[in-house]
Amino acid sequence: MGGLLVFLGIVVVGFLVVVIGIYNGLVGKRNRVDQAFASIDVMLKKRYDLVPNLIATVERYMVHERELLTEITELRTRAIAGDLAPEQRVAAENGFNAAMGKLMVSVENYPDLKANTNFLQLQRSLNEVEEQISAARRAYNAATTEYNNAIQMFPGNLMAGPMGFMRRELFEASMAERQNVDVRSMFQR
Amino acid sequence: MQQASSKTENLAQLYAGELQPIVEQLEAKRQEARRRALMSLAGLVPLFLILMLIFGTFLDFFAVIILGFAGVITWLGINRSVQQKYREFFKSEVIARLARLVDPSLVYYQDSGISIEEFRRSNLFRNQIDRYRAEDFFTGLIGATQFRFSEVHAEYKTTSTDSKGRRRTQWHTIFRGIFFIADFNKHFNGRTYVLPDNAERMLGGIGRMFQSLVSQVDRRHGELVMMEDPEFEQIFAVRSTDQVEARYILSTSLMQRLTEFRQQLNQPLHIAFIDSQIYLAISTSKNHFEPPSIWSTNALLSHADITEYFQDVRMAEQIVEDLNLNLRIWTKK
Repeated sequence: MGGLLVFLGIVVVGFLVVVIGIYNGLVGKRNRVDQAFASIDVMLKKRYDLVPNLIATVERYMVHERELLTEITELRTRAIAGDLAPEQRVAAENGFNAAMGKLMVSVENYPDLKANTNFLQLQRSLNEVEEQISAARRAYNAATTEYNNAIQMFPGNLMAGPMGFMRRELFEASMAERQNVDVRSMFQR
Repeated sequence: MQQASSKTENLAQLYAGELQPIVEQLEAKRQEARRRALMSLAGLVPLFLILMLIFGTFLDFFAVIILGFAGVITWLGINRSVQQKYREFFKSEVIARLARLVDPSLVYYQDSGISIEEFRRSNLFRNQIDRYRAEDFFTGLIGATQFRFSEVHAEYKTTSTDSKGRRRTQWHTIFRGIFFIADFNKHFNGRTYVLPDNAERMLGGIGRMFQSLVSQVDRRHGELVMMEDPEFEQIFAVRSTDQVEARYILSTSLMQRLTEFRQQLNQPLHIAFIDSQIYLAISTSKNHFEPPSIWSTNALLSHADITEYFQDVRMAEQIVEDLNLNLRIWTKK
């Protein structure tokens, strides 16, 4: 009788240890997804920080693009306001990307600007931030895939539902973004 | 920088003109070294046999072995300087000329190499090094990319004592091949490693699980980073101190380039990204930048042979081109 109790005790404790292990593993993976998502924000903020400088540099040259510059400034202000719902943020983000693309195309019409060292430096910084944003998105996708795998594969799938672990979406380039002008193409490769 | 095709033409010109007499001189030196070696052998062996015939009955087995050993040492001693000269002539006349042809700014030192400190700094291999040799050092600038590389042989030793109390020392190779360091085109702060992926190649998914377990214990190279390029993931395992930075360094295009580079190379490749520099360790079994063996009967260097040496000397240019290190569109100029 005593032996059976001890055996049952071991089974229960063992079961609990496994459950706790899986739960903690899932929480860890979900936190990594959140962390990766936050790092995208950090990079995006870095890019928005470059904008005032960029505008200040280009507005002296780009006399015919006042509207575009105002638009970019507005989009930036809206994007960093921080009170947007996720969908609105994505829309603001896309609008900003499109406007920046237009700006970089119209730079072609201003040879003086293209020779400005300050502008060239800013363009390099922009390229760098773009590359970092894309790296952060890829990191987010990798973390999300790992998390999604964990909650959909055995044995995580048994617990994910009851414990409220939801599938997360991957970052995909929107159609508008795919058509965006690549800033890098401004430089000869 | 000149185009590759014009360099091949230049090489043909160099071979037909300047190099031709040098190659002949080199062959003469080689023949002489060979003759010297054979002659001295022809002298020493009969001497040894005569000594054996006269004193053989008085000597025990060990004395004979010691005498034989002394004979070999003497023979090597007689020939060393000639062979050394032959080697030096080859390096200073042939390799140095090829280096100048690749790029006038390319500097070549035959006896110098990547220092042990730099080798250690890469952190690619175990750090306990008991014997370290480096030779054939090249350094220069290609476009905006500063680089240096040399041949490196790093070893560690193990000593074991057998049952009779005799100590035995064994040398094991840590790395042997070309060690290449270049300025990378992006700034970064962490450390990222691209290592050969043996576990995944052999075991697939299970290998990957095993890898991730090992990386949680062995923190030397940071944590495992899963890349989205399946072909790249098959060949390499990436570890880094920073997940985002690793992906910043290894852009999709660089991953593709590294995959192609590795496939062309067909040799184990270890890469480290530290302090905005790229460290490449290419393992090879061949001893690069060495003249033909003195024992072959005829080894007059043909145009094809010289082209092969030329390819080795051009390695840096190739790597910078293959990995597109001259793409300087980020803040690092």
